[in-house]
Amino acid sequence: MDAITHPLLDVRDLKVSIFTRWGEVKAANGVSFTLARGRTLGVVGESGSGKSITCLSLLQLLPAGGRIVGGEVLFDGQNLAAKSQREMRQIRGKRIAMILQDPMTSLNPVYTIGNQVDEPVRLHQPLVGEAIRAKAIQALRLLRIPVPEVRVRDFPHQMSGGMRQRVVGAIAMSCEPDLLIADEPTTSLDTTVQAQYLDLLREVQEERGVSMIFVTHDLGIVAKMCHRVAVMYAGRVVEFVSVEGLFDDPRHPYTKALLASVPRHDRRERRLAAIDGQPPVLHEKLPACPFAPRCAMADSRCFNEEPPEVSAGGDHMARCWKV
Amino acid sequence: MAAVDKPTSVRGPLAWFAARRRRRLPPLPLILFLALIVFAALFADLVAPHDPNVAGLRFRFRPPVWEEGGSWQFILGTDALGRDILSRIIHGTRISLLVGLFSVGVAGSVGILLGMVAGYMGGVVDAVIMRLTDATSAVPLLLVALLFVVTLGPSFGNLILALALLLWSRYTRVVRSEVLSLKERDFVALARVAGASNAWIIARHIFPNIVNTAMVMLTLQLGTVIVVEAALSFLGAGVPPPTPAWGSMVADGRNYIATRWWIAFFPGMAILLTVMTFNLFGDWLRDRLDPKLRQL
Repeated sequence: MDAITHPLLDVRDLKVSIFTRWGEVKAANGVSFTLARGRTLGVVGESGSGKSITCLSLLQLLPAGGRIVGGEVLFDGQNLAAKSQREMRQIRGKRIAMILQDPMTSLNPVYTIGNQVDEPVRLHQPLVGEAIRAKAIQALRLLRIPVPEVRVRDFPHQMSGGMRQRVVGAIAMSCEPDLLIADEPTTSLDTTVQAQYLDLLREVQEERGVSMIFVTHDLGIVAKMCHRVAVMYAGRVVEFVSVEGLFDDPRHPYTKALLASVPRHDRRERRLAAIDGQPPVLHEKLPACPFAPRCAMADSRCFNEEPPEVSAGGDHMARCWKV
Repeated sequence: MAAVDKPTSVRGPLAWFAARRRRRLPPLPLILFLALIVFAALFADLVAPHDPNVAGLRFRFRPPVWEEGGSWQFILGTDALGRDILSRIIHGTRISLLVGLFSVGVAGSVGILLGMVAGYMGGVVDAVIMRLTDATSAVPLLLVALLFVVTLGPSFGNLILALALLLWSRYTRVVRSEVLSLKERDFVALARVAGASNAWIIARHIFPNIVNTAMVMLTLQLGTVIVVEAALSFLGAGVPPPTPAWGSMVADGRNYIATRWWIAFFPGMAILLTVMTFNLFGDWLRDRLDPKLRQL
């Protein structure tokens, strides 16, 4: 497959640290994954596993004290990790766009919808006047907003949460980016609206051939949306696998535990399975395999020697001694 | 889409009040006073019955029209040099308002800009700007303004410079604290994701969200500045004579306060009413724009 030999995004051994007053936090500690054109990558993990930081570092938008300390982000052949902020501004919004979690604060209350959807257009395209407005309407139509010609004049407070998140999607798609990063885009929507929104994003992807990175902790969303999945734990990708492989043949003990803790309606259970122990505190020293303290299969080697990336057939990778 | 309110027609004497409720205009007396002040300042030459600076010793110490010996020629009486007090008050409006608008304008622009930069950039920039505001806020306003103007010589420009130098920090503090919470909002993050520069984000996303606060502060400060200007004029450090300023008129009249009360009384009332008008207007504006801003 051509898409595998020339992926749109190829992240290699990415290391991101956040330097705080308590010391260095290795938020991403050797993250590698690839993403083909028109495909969707799911990034799953608990809070603090480094999934959001990894995505922000692709755009070089790290919080204060954050820095890329190693590795490469090859996007369409260019290494984004080596680019200056000025160069990155030409890529953000134009080639890589993002949808954030909360549509209620993602829109500026003082501007109309049209005025915000066209912001990336104004920043990146040499258009003026009616042409800009036309782009905004086109983007709103792509996100299935009814009567976009009228809606462009509305203010955010006149719209519901689901509609606002569509507007945020329209902002992201207004310059027709190659890559769309969605950081838990549906967590603050209610379940039915959530399902509609996910369907919509899939349609947009089919229409425009945009690649997506879907950050989530909801395995249901992963099953519905993604082609490949990177499971993250303590700043590392512990398993990188196709979505079928994730559910049919998980190899890493953490992935197995995650899957076991999902409530299922086809089984009667008195209690939900939970993973014992606490997520690791990242600024403390971690064992060689950070999951070892919570892992039922761990032995002394897991604590002392870093597990290698082990192939479990084809493009299925797990970072564990026990694969 | 928001439903468009149909104007309910109310007739009779209450119609105006009903309309005011709907459009949420300020109370009528406030509108009238504001209009009066602005009108007097703009058209002083047309409105004033006499030249404010022409002395006529024949007419000195004329009482206001309703007192014994008063005439319609000098409605509010004349001062020790025989100048018409009403005309001087009308022309004094212009000075008060000009000094107020210019110093608030300069202080406001500098203060708001620095506040946005401090809040948005954080770090060292923030620390430096905030220590500057701390230092400025610790200075006794009237005393240093007086010293400043006396040292550099009283003039319109120096007066404005002195007031602006001492007043900018108030805006900086309030604006900075607003920006601190604004910049964490997702629309700022989203703009950054869209490839916007810091200057773009400040101009397009931060500034429009603090305009309300800024307007309220500017209006409330106008009253303060007019009082300070009057105090400086009273002490002889305002706009130099013979330009009529309310503060120096009060000062002129204080020797005669027991017998010719009107010389000091009417300019004093002008100060009181003007400052009150701006303060009440500022209060109204605050309630109208953002009831959360009670602390201002």
